[in-house]
Amino acid sequence: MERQAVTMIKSMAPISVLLMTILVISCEPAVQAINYGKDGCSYCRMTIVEDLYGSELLTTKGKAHKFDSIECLAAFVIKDEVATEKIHNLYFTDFEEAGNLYPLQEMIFVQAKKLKSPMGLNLSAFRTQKTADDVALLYFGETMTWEQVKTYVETAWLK
Amino acid sequence: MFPLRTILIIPIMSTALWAGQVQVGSDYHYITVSEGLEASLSGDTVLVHPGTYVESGLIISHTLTLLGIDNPIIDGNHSGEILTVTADDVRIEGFTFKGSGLSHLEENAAVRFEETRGGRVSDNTFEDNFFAVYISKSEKCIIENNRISGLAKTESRSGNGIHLWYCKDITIEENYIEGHRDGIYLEFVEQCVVTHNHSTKNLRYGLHFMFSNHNEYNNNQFDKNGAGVAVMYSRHVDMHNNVFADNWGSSAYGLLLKDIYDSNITDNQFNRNTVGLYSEACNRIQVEGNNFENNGWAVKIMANSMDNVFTHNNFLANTFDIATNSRQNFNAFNQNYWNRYRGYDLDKDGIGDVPFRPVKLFSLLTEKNEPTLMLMRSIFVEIMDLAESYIPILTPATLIDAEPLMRINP
Repeated sequence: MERQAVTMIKSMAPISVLLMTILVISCEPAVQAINYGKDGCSYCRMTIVEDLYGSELLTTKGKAHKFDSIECLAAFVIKDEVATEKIHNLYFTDFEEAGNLYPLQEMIFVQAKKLKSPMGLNLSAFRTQKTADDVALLYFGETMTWEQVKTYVETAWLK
Repeated sequence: MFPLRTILIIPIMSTALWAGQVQVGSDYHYITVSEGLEASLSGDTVLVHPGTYVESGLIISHTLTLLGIDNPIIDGNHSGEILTVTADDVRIEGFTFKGSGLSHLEENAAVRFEETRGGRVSDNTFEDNFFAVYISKSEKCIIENNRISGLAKTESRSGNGIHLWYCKDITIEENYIEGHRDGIYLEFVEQCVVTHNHSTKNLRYGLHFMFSNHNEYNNNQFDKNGAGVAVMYSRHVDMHNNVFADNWGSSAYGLLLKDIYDSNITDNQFNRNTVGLYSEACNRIQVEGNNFENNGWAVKIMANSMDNVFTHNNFLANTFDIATNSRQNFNAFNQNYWNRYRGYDLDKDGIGDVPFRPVKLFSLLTEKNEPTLMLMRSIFVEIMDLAESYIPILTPATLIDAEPLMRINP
């Protein structure tokens, strides 16, 4: 991104265009890394410690709400803590690649009673359909879409 | 049954030195703990002599006492679970357990009790395990006088020191726990007593309740954890005489309460925490006789907390005494001692004649917009706070202590 900006700056002489470019770049919300063991969950207030389940909601203004589990992010969304039109995107940890966050559109969710998540609803996220299917089979669970996850969290937690 | 069986067995089992005893050690018939356990009968004592036993996957499936002589070491070599107990009334005493396997799919423990009654784990040392003691679907167990240390300094994938899941009537007493994810973790647990433990330097919480009703913890020390204690989604929890100290950091609390009902917090010490007591969506909690000293925020109570009573507490040298996020207040503050109180007592009854407003305007601002903390010591903020304290407009009008004490509670 930075190098792109630098080449842009070189190629575009007019200062107004340059300023615009910088503005546009800095306004595009960027996913923020979760500081495990330090950051707190925006929904349940717990310190986020397990790098297999960290999730994030990014607002259009670039504010990151971090969560210790998929269920906390789902509950946060269901409760409209941030208005829908102000949500830029949601991000989840791929269970196979802990530590990195990937956008909602790439994720397949698994709810499996033998794979415990931090807040007890046993949800995990994967980017490959096959792994998700395998895990669901191995740990007595099922794969879910994000809509199904929200319905499940709503009935299990919020009634 | 017992004497009859031993009489019959002594002549048959030449390997057993005494009735009901199985000896394990390099100089004995049984060299490994697993051989000893296999040879034992229900009611026996398995005596393990000093030495290091590199073993894992041990299973105790009948009642017995596993007794270490002069602290033998059972080293799981980081593969799987070290010892699983599936029988009632099993006692494990006098060992060092180290190196249970680390897996994020299996919750491997050094010692696990699975669906048992009446177990006891006492006087052991646990080092470098994923989970140390894991009690699952069990009741009437005692975990006492163990020294448990993990290696969770920054490692985010670490298990809990003492982990209870779906248990009832368990006593956790006089243990020292450090370096795990949570020192003690209780999920779906009823009627447990956690007492006289010292839980420190754990990555997340010293003690953590989830969905666990009718429990009690007292006389424990929780310090230098990610946050001291978290009690969440639980009812009827008694918390008294504990020390919550030195929990610093952006999400660090002495005591974090979320969705708690009908509980008591009495006679505790909250010293040098970022937030001493944080309460969100908590109802009908009696907060009495506690000492809040040198905290950033002594108490943060969110507006969705109702019918809580704060009385006879001491608030000493905190940066903020009470913070909240709304003008609404549905909690009672009565007869507390506030070292910031500047009132007078003309009738000399020990109670200040003018009410005390513990919420500063500035603390309300920082609650809504954290970066304003930058202005903390500015003269502008001082003037604002002073003005607000005379004519309250933005701070909760009903959040007052109408009878502030003139002297500190003993």
